[in-house]
Amino acid sequence: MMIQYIFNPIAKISFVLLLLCNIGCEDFFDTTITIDPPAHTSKLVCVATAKSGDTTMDIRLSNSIGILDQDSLLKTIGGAKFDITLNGLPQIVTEEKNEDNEIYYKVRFSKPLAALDQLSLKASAQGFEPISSISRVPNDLKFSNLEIIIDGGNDEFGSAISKVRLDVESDVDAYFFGVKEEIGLLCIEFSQELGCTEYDTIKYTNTMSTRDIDAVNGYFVHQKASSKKKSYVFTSNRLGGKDPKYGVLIYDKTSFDYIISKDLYQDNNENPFSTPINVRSNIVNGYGNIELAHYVRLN
Amino acid sequence: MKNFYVFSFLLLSCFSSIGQNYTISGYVSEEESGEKLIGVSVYSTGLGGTVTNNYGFYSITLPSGSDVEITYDYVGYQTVVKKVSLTQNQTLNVDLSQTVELQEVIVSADKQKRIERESQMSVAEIPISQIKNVPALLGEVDVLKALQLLPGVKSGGEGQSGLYVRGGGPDQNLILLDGVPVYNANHLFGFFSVFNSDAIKDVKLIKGGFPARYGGRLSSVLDINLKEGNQKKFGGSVSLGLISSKIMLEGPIVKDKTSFIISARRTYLDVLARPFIKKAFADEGNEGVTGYYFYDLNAKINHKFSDKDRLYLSTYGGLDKFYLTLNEKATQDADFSKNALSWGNFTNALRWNHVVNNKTFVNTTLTYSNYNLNTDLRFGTSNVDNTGKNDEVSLRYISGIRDIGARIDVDYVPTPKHFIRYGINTTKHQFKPGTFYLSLDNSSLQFKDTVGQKNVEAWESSIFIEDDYDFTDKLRVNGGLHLSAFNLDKTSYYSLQPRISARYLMPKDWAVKASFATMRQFINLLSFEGIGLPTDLWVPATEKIRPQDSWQVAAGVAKTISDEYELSIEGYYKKMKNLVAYKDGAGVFQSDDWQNRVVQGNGDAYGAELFLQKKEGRLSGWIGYTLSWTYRQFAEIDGGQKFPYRFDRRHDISVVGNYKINDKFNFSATWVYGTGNAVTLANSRYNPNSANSLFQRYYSEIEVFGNRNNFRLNAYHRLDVGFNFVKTKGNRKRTWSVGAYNAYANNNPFFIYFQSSSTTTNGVTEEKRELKQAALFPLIPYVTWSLDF
Repeated sequence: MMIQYIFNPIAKISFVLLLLCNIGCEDFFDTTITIDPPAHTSKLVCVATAKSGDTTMDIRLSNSIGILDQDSLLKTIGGAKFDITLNGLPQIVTEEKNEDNEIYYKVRFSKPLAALDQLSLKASAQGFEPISSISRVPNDLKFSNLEIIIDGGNDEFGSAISKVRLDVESDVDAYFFGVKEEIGLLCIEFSQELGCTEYDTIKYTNTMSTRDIDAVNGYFVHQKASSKKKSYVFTSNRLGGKDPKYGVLIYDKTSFDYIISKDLYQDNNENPFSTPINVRSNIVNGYGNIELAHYVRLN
Repeated sequence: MKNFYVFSFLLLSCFSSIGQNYTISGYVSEEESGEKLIGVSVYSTGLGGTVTNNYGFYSITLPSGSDVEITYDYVGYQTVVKKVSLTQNQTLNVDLSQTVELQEVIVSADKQKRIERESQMSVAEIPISQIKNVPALLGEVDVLKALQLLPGVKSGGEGQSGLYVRGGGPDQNLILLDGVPVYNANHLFGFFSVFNSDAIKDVKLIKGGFPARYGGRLSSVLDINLKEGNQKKFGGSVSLGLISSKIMLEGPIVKDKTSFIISARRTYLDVLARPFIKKAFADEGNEGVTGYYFYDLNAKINHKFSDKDRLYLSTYGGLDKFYLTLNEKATQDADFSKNALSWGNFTNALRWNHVVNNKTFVNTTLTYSNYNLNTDLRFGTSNVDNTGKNDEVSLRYISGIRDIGARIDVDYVPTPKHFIRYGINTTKHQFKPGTFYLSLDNSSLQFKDTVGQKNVEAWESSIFIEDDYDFTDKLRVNGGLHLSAFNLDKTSYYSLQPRISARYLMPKDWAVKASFATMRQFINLLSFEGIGLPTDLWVPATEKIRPQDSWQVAAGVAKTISDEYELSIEGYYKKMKNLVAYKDGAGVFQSDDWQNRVVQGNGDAYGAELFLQKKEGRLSGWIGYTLSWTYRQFAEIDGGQKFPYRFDRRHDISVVGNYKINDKFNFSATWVYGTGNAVTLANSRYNPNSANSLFQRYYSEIEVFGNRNNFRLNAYHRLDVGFNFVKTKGNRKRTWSVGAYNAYANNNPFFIYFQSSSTTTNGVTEEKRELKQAALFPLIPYVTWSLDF
């Protein structure tokens, strides 16, 4: 009787399904588990920017936290010890507080920053591995010809543009440079809404670029340079008014990679189809970047 | 082409003066259906042997003057011995009948097609009957998923049909359906393959030691042949499953001359769910419907003009479609949207088999293949301001690839010691690398624009020659050359690819095998690792993006144990150059030139594989084990450091078994284990803003990923079980299949994510962030019903 029951096909199917469903009790259908993330050691994060002509530089020193740690653990670090030299000469560093009552450090240079100045930074803070960085203000960009056309026609959206043409003599592969319109605080205030940055249009040359970035939003425009081509034309939307002032802003490769990768990270932060982006750094044993630029006014 | 015929003539002349021999040739077919059998051993003991080619044709040349016995031997079929008097060339067509079920097969000791006798290595063939018995997700028998259970082959992820062979990428597999390349072999984002098992006759996967006749991909060749259709009688099958149903019909149009087969499959969840979905929309005050379906259809017709000429026409069409239509119920200013995402393949092959003479078989094929992705989004407002006019925005995105090709393959068997193949092949590719069509139509503005990249056309051509040659009784070598060319605009690439594989018979039926093959691939797939998205884009090698290259060396041993078990152990090393990967931050749905979004680099893969297979008998199945490493290196990723490929799996184990208890009941089970995939996961984060960021862009926190693929997901393991209840009545066979995928409900990793939560205790809120691993499938039972008639 039992055997007959077992070998009746419908009964067998029912039996198997019942068995499977019984096995599949509630816990079986819970498909999410908690796992441990990769191990993490908190490191110092050092961020500072300066350009030629500057006499001070502000440094933000903070900590990195584990990927699961709460935001409240992200803090600026006080009481750090700095050893900063400019061309081998020690520089004065003081601990300050900004308008948000956050700690930062101010470096007072013994002379205004100039092309080819070398900045060495060492920093240590309790509970962290010491960090170090060596960075240099890029060299001048030598150009044989400069042409600024204030009324350069209109862009595709009908806005008036100016054009700046540079015939570059230097080895352009050594630089990441662009033309900056000195648009001042007015535009910068607008920039949060308009999406423009202090760089109106900048072109660079490199072979390690990450991708094209939209010029309309005021970021970098990619133009791969060949060693033969040394003439560059930059366009500006003349946000500075009828009498725009232009200058050339030059970065070294490390700083340029940092800026590009940081922007790219932000732009793709919510994009599920984007590959992961590692933001570059020139800080040994830490994160962040000491970003030194060289700036030369053109008119 | 003229040179090709001259070459053919010279080659035939070379062997025409060989001794006083006679040739026996013909087709080997299945007795019950007339279906041609591939790979049947045809031999005369002591004099040599051969195997039937992809169309069931064989040719064996033997010394004259005596009567010989020719044996036809094929796994699962009764051996036939024919006595032949060698006094003239003869055509001898042979029918084999299937062995009686449940009988343990007695395998001839001199079987020509034993694993240790073949010069080719790194090949896996699974009988389609065995594939059908492997327990499957939702009961959908899937050829690609069965192949994933072989050593050296990995899946893209839980439930995915993608193949990653010996450290290669998903674009490095040449998938041929009746000789036509299939570019997207996935339904439903890779959960099911496009191949309907009811229409398939034969499946062969080559992982290394590639014969010269194949080319164009670096890592594998998957050669799938469709059935031809029953030449003797009308029949078919019907299958009802949880997500789809299938029907297959086959039969003679003119008995023993013309036959057809047609099979179709469609999912029907969208049909079943439609009333409920409509009601759900109606409850929200809207009219709408949404759903998903896929279908595929295989059809083939063949006609035998004579013993020398046969014509085949086969076609495949398949489509996946998501759709969402929503109309707001209002008399004016009602929002509407109509969206669809569809993708599908359409392939055709027209094949002419011609027996030139007893030793020469020519196969001429014309092929057409088309893969398209079509995204269509339309939305707007109807009867704006009661004017009777509509505002509408429409956005379409189209990408794909289309091939038109022609090839001639010649099989020439001058003596039992040689099996020579040569041929010529040319394909015109048309790449459609992604175009957006935008249209805006309202009362104040009409605007149309097309953004994206132009279609690109390219020619890919190749010639090849190979010889499977018995140097001695112990040493057999398959050597060949494959010359390929690729022309796109003013850019041309040429490649000469030597291929060689050899086996040497050792005492006690052990064979030592070795192979070396170079491959070149002129087309690339821009893809997100692990997910078979229809958005994956096929693009050509260009002046800027060089073709991919590889070389692979493999060595191993093979043996048939106790006439039942095939054992092979192989080690391999593969070097890959000019691989393509997205740059940091790059992705799909970008309108800029795809060449600016990718970088090229190198990869290598090495490992060892063990494969023990039993194809026949009450108990059949296999055990596979792979120990492997695979890495990638790109100058612009991770600062040029070498990093593990996502599918760098150290250990991979599969055990597949099917046990036939009696005529009415069989049981099958599969257990797999694999080291966890490597993924890129951030391990820390920081604030990147400056000390005084008032006048600078504000950045949100930055996560530090460390090296690419720096984190290992948990190991993957799963048990599937299935039971088949069979009832036969006359010509009808009814089968109930029940089983379960992931029978012990292991939480296998599909993706990981961060989850934030907060709890408030005594007025204090505590934030908590956790790393979660989500599995896709818990225990999934299935039941299917099928009827063969």
